Amino acid sequence: MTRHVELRGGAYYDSVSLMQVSRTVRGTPGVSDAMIGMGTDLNVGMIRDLEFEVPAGVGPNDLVVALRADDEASMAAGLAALEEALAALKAAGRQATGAGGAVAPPRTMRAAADEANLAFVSVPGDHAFAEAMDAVEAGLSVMLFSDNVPVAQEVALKTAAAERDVLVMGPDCGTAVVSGVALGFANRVQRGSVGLVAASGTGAQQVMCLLDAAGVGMSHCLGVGGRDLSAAVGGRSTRQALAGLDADPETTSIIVVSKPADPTVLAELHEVVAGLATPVYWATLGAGRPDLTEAVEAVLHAQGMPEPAWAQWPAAAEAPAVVSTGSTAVASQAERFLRGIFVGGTLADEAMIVAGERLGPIRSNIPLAPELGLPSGMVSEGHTIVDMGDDEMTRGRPHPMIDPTLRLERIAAEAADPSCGVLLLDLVLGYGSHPDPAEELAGAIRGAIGVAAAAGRRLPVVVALVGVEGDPQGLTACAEALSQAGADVYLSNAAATRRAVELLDVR
Amino acid sequence: MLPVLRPEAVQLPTAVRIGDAGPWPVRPGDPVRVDAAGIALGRWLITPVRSWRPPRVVPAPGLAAATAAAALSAAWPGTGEMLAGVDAAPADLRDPRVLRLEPELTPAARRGLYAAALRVVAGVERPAALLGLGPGLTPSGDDVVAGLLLGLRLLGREARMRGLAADASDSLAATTDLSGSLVMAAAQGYAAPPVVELLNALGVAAQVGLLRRNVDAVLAVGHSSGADVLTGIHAALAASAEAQVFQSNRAKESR
Repeated sequence: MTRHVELRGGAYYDSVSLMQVSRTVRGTPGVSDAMIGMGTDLNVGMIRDLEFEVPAGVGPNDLVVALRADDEASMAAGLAALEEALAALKAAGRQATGAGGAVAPPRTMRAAADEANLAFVSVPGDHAFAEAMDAVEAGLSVMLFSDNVPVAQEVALKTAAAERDVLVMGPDCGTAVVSGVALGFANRVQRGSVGLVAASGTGAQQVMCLLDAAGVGMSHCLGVGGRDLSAAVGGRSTRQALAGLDADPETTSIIVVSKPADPTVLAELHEVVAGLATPVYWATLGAGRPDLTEAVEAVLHAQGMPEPAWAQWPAAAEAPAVVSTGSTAVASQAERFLRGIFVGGTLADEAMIVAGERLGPIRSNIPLAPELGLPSGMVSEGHTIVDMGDDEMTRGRPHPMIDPTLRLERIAAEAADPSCGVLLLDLVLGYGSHPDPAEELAGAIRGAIGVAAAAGRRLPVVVALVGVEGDPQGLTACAEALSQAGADVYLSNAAATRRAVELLDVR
Repeated sequence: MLPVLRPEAVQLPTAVRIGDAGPWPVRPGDPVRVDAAGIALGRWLITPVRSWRPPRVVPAPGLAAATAAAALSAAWPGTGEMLAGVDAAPADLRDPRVLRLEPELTPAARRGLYAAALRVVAGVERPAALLGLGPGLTPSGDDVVAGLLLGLRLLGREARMRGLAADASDSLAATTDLSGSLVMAAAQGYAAPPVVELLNALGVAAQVGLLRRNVDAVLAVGHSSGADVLTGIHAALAASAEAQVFQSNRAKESR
């Protein structure tokens, strides 16, 4: 039988921790007793009652450890168990990284910069500049998810980023894929050798999904923010992203995706591209330019690959019988218009360009020309395509790709409008999007068709479905749900738009 | 004694609270300086500002102790076990298993603490019987004494409270410095905010449903501190009550 008593100063533990430690130590084979506690008179008295010799001079602020063991070896094992248990308590304290833990979580971009080379900023737009600038100055590239950031701040950020040779993706950059990691809204596309520079989130998603369907994978998709190719911003981030992809050994070809861009900026970028070693293709929307699907087909053609037949799922539901209302005159063909309700801004732009070629000017909250703007209240007038994800619509509320409520309300309103001749919708799948968007949209489509039928009208619905089979929501499952609801579904937004125009014409 | 606390620590009424400023820049034994400039901890200089005012127990002299004890019993499920002294013997607090906090002994230890608290408030025993009892940095016995002082203050038994506080003050060397400073704070009516909130709720005869929330918050203080303080508060109320049931309990416990 051997005994061991020691005093430890500066060791502070709560009762339950000490109980656990003494239980662990008592569990060591050969250890018959272990008492661990602060050296208060009462505690020391108890320990002495158990025939331990506690040194004189022990004070209440000392930790007293008293062990009894069968032999020296067991005592050594018991003491080792004690050290281990106390060390585990300390480690648990150190690992606590919550508020006030021993390892405090970084609270500023600058503090986090040691461990990262990319910052994701998603604070409200009014506060985004400070965070993003902090990151840039710390040498980080920034994905700036926030919208409602003033253009002057964007220019300042991107100028600072160019000086430090980092990239600012955004503001209002919803989509990026960096080295196979999806940031924001992105599809689970296969990895490969095509790099994207995208001044457009849903446009990039459309291009990536079409390429994926054709069997072509992505190296990176670098978003640059929807305004990057405007005259004010001058393509600052696009230049950085092009240089970065050109230097990337994984990337063997580059596609620049954009909503309608400033012609001067585009011309300048063409010069930049001429100096790159990697071939660059353009999917920049504009009147008389190829749509996104045609741009992807051109890339595939240039690489000697066949153009696939883009997937489509025709409406599977019987259109409900149209109620003859007799007295209500059904609007004549001339009074029936295309109504597009989009969540993707670039998809809306593309639809306006493609449909505009046949239908003439289209009104919108993001009009191709200023005079085509919708009146306040955003009520549809003639051929109209609205972008429910525009800044104006999303201030203080989630993007409709996350919360579809506003769009579903608008679909119901359009269905009740006798001048609505065809509904054109988009649905974007992938990370970040609503986990089961097709079910709600299918319900709204059924409702819209039913409302129109009850009013004596047939209302065709066409959906552009942007996604890949690997997406969490499942491409085919979503397409079938929409088709069952009565919609014609297309993987290509341009094809969906053409179908909608055709349905309007043949009425 | 000047506790300097991180945000997640129990809000001690005597403490300076800091934000999460990274790992402590000092280790046990390092010298620190407290003067007009602030608290110098290694490379930190903490300049205190008043950002909160610790709540204080408001005496409610008209409060019927029996009613308050009954309300606390109803709101604290642990009361039944603690008062089961008729059938189950309280542990001898000098049993080393109390120091080890052995689970099978915990209900008996709770009864032992309660019995000792009743003896202390009745003047049969001195606070020294409890101060320093228990293994941790704030020994259970100290929390019980703090509960007694707070409970007596609530009932307006100022003289008894002051006598007990003076006794405790003489025995402070029996416990850890931190814990002793908290016992003295309790004599002034200060404790962790949930404890004070419960007492003030008892003082205004809050409904049992509301008290239950207060009790839960107290039980969340520390690992066993909350229950220990409740033990002391209950003992103060019960010992002060006229009701026969508590008198007879006390007689049994005090044997």
